[in-house]
Amino acid sequence: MKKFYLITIVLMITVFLSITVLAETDVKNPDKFIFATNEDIPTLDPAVSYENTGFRVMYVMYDRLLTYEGSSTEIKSMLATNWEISDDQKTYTFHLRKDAYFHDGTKVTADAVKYSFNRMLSIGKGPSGLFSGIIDGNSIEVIDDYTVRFKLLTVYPPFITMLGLNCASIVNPELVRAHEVDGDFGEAWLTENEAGSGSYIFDSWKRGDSLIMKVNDSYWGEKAKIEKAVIRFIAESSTQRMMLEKGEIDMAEAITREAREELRNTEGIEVAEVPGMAIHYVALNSSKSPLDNLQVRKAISHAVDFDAIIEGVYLNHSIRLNSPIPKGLFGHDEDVPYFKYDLKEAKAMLADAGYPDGFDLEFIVADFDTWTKVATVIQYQLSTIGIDVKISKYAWPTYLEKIMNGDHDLCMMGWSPDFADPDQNMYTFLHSDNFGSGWNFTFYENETINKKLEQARKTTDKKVREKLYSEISMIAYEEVPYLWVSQNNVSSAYRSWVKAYELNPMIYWYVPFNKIYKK
Amino acid sequence: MWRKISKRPLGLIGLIILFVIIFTAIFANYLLMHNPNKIDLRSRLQSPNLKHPFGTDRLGRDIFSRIIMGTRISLKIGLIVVAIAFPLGTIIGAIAGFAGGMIDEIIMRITDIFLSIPALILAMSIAAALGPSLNNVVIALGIVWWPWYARLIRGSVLQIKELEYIEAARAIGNSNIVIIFKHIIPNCLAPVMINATLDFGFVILSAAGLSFIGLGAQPPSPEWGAMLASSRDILREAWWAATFPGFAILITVLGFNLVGDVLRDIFEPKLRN
Repeated sequence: MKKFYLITIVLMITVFLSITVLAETDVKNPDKFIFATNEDIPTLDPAVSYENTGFRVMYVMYDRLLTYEGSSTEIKSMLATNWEISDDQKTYTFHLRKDAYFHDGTKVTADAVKYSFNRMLSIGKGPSGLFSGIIDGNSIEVIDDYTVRFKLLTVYPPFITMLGLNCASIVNPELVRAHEVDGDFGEAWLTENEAGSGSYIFDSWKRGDSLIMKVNDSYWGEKAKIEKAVIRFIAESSTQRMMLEKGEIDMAEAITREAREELRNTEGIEVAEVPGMAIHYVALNSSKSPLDNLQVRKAISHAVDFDAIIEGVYLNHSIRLNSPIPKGLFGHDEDVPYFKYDLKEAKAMLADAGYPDGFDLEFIVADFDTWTKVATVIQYQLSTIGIDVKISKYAWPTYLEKIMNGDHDLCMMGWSPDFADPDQNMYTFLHSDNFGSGWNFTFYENETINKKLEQARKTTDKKVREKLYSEISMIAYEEVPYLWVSQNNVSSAYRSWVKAYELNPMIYWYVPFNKIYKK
Repeated sequence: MWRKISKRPLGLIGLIILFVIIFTAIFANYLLMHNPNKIDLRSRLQSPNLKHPFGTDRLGRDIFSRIIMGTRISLKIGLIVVAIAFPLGTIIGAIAGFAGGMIDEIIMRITDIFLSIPALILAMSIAAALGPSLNNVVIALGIVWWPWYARLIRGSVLQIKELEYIEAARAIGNSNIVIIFKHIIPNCLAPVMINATLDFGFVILSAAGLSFIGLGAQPPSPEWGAMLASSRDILREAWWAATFPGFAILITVLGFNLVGDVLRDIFEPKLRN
């Protein structure tokens, strides 16, 4: 009998222990916020970086004149408290706040603003292209310590929204100059260091493993609530999922759509999702036969079942797209038709164009999972009208080189606007100046479109701009230089103990490290 | 021969596996339940059922039919690679062994260079340089594989060429070429043949590996490694999509290895320990 009691007691203890283990929802690592990504950060220099993974951390280590914040796509005041725009729309005067300090204690002044922009333009890498033709080395004038003036080379209404770009970050001139080697504007040093005034300070970085930022206790604005923000590099999405379930990481970037569905029902884990502005599309290379034939391009647009792709590849976490301007961005026009799936029509058009038996095409894709899947579906669907598509997958750098050369017939691309204006999408995708290295991979030339694009970016009247963009979208629908595939939701999986997290529909890489707390 | 194999149960299993695989590859078209490339997004990721015995993948393709078609691809790769590496290695090795001296030195140092780089890494770099496609994987593996045969053959040739019957062949005025091809190579083929059987499995495994990392088969090819790669990140949500292609690779490689082992036991009893 004694034994029986003993066993019962042991059993009860075991049961009690296992219940407490199961019910444990205590916050792990309360002083850290751990974010997992599968993409490496090539550089931390805001004038050079053109990668979402880098933007994410630089955005909180640096301040900008203006910024995007939280879930809003409206530009907001940051270092600049207020500003005036001249009547001719060419001169912008900014008044800076007086209580902002760089991490080494020096003041953020108008000189720093001038230095930062000129530094970016002089280095002349990736992001600086966005400002070309808009400002140059002589555009910026320091009025006094806290007033700076930009004189634009041309009227360009989106300019104000561009000041929230990561490359418009203000760097500490003295610190950067001190690390200059052979006139490189401190680029070599800044690749793995930081010279900002933001709410987080660079702490340490083990490439391929983790990057750590610590809180800036003397920040001029609202102080970040978490002591340390950690970026962990974890290549496999299944590993990220496992670690998230164990609570070893707080937020995971690379979770498959399939896993997201399951995580939605997992206790202790939240999956947030909002409509986004990132788009996927296929560029048809119109400089090559037979894609130079409009009827052929139209036939292709009717042969692809985009609704099935949205459902079966994107699992309904995306919506259809009808133009380069996604829903939610100024200039989007819902009256522009979506491509209609109609095999009969497609076959008739192909026969009409003189290809009743089809032809061969090469579809080049970067080896990203979703892109490959979309390409495979399009390959199959085009095979039903006799077009034989060969898919070639390449790693990103090779891929980019190939499509910039125009080696492809079809290529798959993704894009998200960097600032809240349709000019970037439109001008990049459709103007013939941007063929190849300017990211217009269609090589489709249309004088009317060119003229309308140039006019739209110089017009200040919103109504007129809106009308121009609708007209361009309509021509792009009729001429089919692109197949618009999807507009994707922004989504993220994280532990329920992460509070105050917000997704931004436009800058989908955005993580509000400075607002998040754990409870 | 048959008695020898049937006494070894593992060899028998291996033979049965090989028989099934070869049968599948030859009659693939008659075994299909669905078009292996037919995409049906509305029936994606179905778990194994009567209509789809191995389930469906992310694009709604029937995994069973894809594996059947994949058998043909894998066997073809194995066959071509061995067909490139085997004669190439044999001839080069035989020449080196027979000629000796400077020629031997040069040839063997070149093979050493090939052998000093891990086979898969070398194949990866060659395949990457040539561009991603199955044909290039075959070429890459062929280039990587021949030195093994060259070395093996050279060893045998060094032994054989000192034997009396070679002396005799030379004495009656045969040319070197005749001696190499008629008298030497046929007499040192046994170990190489065994090696080739074993290699078949490794070649298939390597090709699957190259496809897995995206250098080999391009969509929609139902190559096993590529199938595995495209489904591995949903192993927890849909286990069947990656498991069955994985099994296909496992069983095929196992089959060739078992048969190869048994052949070695039979033909080279000295090596048994």
